Amino acid sequence: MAVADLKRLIAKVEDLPTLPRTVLRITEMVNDPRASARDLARIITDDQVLTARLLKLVNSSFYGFPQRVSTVTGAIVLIGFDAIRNLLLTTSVFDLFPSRTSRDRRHQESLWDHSLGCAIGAKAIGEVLRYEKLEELFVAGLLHDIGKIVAMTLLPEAFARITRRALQDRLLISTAEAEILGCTHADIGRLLAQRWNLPAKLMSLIEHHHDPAAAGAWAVEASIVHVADILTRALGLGSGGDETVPSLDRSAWELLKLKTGSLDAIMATMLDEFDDIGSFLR
Amino acid sequence: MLAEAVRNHQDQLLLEAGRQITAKSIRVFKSWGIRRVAVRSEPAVDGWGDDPVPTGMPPAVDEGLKERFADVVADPLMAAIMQAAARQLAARQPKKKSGYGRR
Repeated sequence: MAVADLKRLIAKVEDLPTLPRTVLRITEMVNDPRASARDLARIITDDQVLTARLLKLVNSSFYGFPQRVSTVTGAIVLIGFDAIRNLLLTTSVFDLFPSRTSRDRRHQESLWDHSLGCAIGAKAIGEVLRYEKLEELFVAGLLHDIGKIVAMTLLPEAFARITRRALQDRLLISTAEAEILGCTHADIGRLLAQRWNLPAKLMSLIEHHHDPAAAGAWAVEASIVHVADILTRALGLGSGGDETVPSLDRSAWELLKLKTGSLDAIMATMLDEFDDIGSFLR
Repeated sequence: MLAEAVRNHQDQLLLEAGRQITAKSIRVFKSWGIRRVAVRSEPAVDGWGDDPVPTGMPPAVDEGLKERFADVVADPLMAAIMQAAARQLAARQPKKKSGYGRR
């Protein structure tokens, strides 16, 4: 992509929708040490859709609580402020990119399915590694390819050329993107994350999910998303726009100290949770 | 691949040691009532790729996975991932209406 085109893309990113006001207010509140669970619940319950989604999620297999959680305050106390913010962010992002045509819608749904698979995979790997903030991994997995959604929305013709080229010549989509756009979905995702003022860690995971070592202090989390991305492709959950499975980054695998013996359990979880969790996000 | 030669009850050689196990050879084994064979993987790196070749895998899944992994399957780690995916997809195959993938 020429410099002028890249600038045009950046300008278009500025036109992208911002996050819903409720999610922004919740993000502010999560960072406010004086805020209580009741304060947070009041904001969430003002939005019926968010309330319904939150309760559905808290009662899904994602958490697997033995008893039904019936109040927003109860959900907040159980899973914590950060988790609430991340989960509401997750459920809101799906609404922000309307498709123009039925073909776009199919592609977009397929991409979201891939993202959802990666999110579930990242969480499943986190469970095996006993990582503490599982919902953080889930959100990173869900948003790792957000740059593709942006490209599809803002540059539909170019994105169609990219996927065509990737499929015809068995290229990875990032290779085709670099050829046609001069940048990749990881770069575009970073631009959007900046636009949305997402946390620096999440921005880094989106930017470096193909080269996790470059995420520096967050290399472990980036490696988890990277491995989850590969496993999602292996299982054919949705489509990232190309049809080949790329090589796994050796340093990422070694950093996580995962064993191949864990792969079956991780993949079984991914398949089990894909339909369940997907039902309230789609 | 096979770790030991496979013979039927009449001691006829069905497949030599070191040969790749294919869908066809599995059908032959089954037709002779052979339920178990000794297998070994390609030379493993750090213990990668030491899982047995998945058997009883529906051809559609097998081909789809092979296609996806065609560029990387020489890597033992990627082969291990492919085998695990094959097992998990095959385990769910009877329950699903469609073949490979979950579009």
